[in-house]
Amino acid sequence: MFKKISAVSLALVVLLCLSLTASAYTEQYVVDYNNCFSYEEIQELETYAESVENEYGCCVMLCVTDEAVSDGYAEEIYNDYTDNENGFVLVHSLDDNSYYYFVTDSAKSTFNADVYETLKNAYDSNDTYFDGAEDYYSTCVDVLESDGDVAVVPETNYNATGDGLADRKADTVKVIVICIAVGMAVGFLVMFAIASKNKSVRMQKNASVYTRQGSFIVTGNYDNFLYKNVDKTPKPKQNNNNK
Amino acid sequence: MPTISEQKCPCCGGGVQFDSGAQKLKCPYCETEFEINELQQNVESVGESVDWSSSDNRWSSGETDGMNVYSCQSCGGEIIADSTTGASKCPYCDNPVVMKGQFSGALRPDLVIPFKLDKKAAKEALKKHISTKKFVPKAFLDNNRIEEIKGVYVPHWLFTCDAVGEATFKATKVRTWSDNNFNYRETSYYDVYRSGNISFDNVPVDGSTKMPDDLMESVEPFDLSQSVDFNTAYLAGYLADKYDVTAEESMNRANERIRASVGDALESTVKGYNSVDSRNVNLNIANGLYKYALYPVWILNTSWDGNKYTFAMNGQTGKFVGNIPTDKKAVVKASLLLGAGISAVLCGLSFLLGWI
Repeated sequence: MFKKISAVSLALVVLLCLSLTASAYTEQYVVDYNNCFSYEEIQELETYAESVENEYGCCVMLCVTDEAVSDGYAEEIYNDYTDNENGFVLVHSLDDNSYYYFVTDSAKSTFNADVYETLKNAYDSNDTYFDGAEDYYSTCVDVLESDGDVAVVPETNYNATGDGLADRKADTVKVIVICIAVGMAVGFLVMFAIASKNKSVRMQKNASVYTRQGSFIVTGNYDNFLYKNVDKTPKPKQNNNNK
Repeated sequence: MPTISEQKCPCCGGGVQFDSGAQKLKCPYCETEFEINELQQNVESVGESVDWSSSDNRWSSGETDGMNVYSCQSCGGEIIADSTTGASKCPYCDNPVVMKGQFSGALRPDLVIPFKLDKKAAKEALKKHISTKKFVPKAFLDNNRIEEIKGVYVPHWLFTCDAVGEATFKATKVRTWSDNNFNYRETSYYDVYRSGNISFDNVPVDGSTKMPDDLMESVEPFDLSQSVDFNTAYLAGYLADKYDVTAEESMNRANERIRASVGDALESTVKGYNSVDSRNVNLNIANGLYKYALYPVWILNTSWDGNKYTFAMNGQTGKFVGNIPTDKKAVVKASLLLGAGISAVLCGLSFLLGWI
C-alpha cells in the first residue's frame, strides 16, 4: 500500500516539477496560454527573442490566448514578464481572432500603428502559429534594424526576467511552499492519529456507563446575563482597479 | 493458620476446575462435570494446622512478612503466596487451590462474575488485537511471545449512590452583523447554574494494587446482571486476589468519576450558547453503598526487545486492551509519503487553477 502511495506521490511530484520548470523557462518572450506551440518551438522562439533583446535592447513579446481580451491586457502581460522600458507585445486572442498590442513609451516611435499592422500581417499570413511567430520576429528585426531610434541598451541595464516575472516566480514558490506545508501537516496529523490507536489503555473519564436509567433530574437552574462586548472591524475595501 | 480448599472430583479424586464454557465445575482428568452446588457437599476443607515451627530455621524472622505458606492437599507440596493471593495452582501438581481464609468472614466478596471466555479466546483476541493495529514493528509481530497468560479474578469495589450535584458554567452567545462599512461581532457572557440529582449503580474501582488501575478501567464495563453470589468453586483453575486497597481508599476514585459524570450531565442541559466552559462542580453523595466483587480478567504478558507488554481481556465480554509498540520510523515515513502525495495534489490543483 505504502509503496503504491509513494510511487504515485513521487510520480506526481516529478511531473509537477517538470511542468513547472518547463513553464518557468518558456514564458518569458512567448506566452502561450493555448498550447499553440510545441515545447521545442517555444524554445527556439525564446532563443531568438532573447538574442533580439540582447542585440537591440528591445523586448519583443508574443502572446497567444483563448481568453476574451480587454483593454490593458497587453500592457499587463508585458509588465508581468519584463521590466524592459523598450518593448512591444503582440497579443492574439483566439476567442474572437482579434489582435492587441502594447508598446512602451520609448519604443512608440519605432512600433507605430503602421508597424503594428505590418507585424500583425506577418504573423497572421502564415498557416501555422510557428511560421507566423517566426515571421513576426524576423519582421521585428527588420523594423529594429531600419530604425535607429530604439536605443541599444546594454544587457546589464535591464533584467530579462523582469520584476513581474520575478514576482510571479516568488508567488509560485510561496504557493508551492504552502502546498507542501499543508500536505505535510495533514500527512503527519493523519498518521499520528492512526498510530495513537495503538494505545488503548487509559483511565475512564467518568462513570456515565453506570448511571441509573432515568435517574437524572434537574432541580435548579438559572442563566444570568453578565455583560457583552462588541468588536467592530472595518470591511475590506473592494478593489475597483481592474486593469 | 492459613488453610486451603480444593475441589476434588468424587469420581477420580483429581482436582476440578471451573469451566467457563459450560459454567460448571469439570474434572480435567475424567472430564466429569458437576453443578456448583452439587459439589459443595464434597468440598474438602483442609483446616489442619501445619506446624512450621517444627522445621528449624526454615524461615528467618521477617522473611515471611507479607507471605503465607500453604500445604497442597493433593501432593503435600508447599505453596508460598503473598498475603493477598486468594486462588492459585500448586506449583508441583498443578492442582487448583483456593486459600479459604482470604475470602471468609468480612473479606468474603458479595458477588463474582464467572469467566465466560477461556484461555484460547484470550490468545485469539491478542492475535486479532495486534493484527488490526498499524505501525506495529515487524520484529514485534514476528518475535513477541506470550510469556504468561492467566485468568485472574480481580477484586473490585462497587459503589452505588445518589449524587446531588450543582455546577456553574461560563457561557457565551455570539451575534454578528454588518453595515456598509463595518463587520460587528457581539459576544454576550452569561453565568449559568444547574443543579440536579443522578443515581449511579455499581461504579467499579480496582481494589488490587497488583493490577494497574488504567488497565482495569480500560476493560470495563462488566455486565453485573450476570453476576452470582460468591462461591469459591468459581475460583477453581484461576488466580484470585483479595483486595489490598480498602473501600475507603477507593472512594476517592469513585467520587472523581461520579463528579465528572454529574458535571457532564448538568452541562448537557446548558443549551443555546456558542461556548460553554465548566468552572465548578460541587458534589454531595447520599445513600452510598459499596459491595465487594471479583471481576474476571485475562492477563497476557508478552516481551519484546527487553520490554514487557501487558494486555488484558474482559473475561466476560471479551473486550481486549493493551498498548502496542509503535514503529516511529514507519510513522514518519508514512507521514512523509502521504504528505508528499497531498502536497503534489495541492500543487497540481494550484497549477490547474493558475495560482502557479
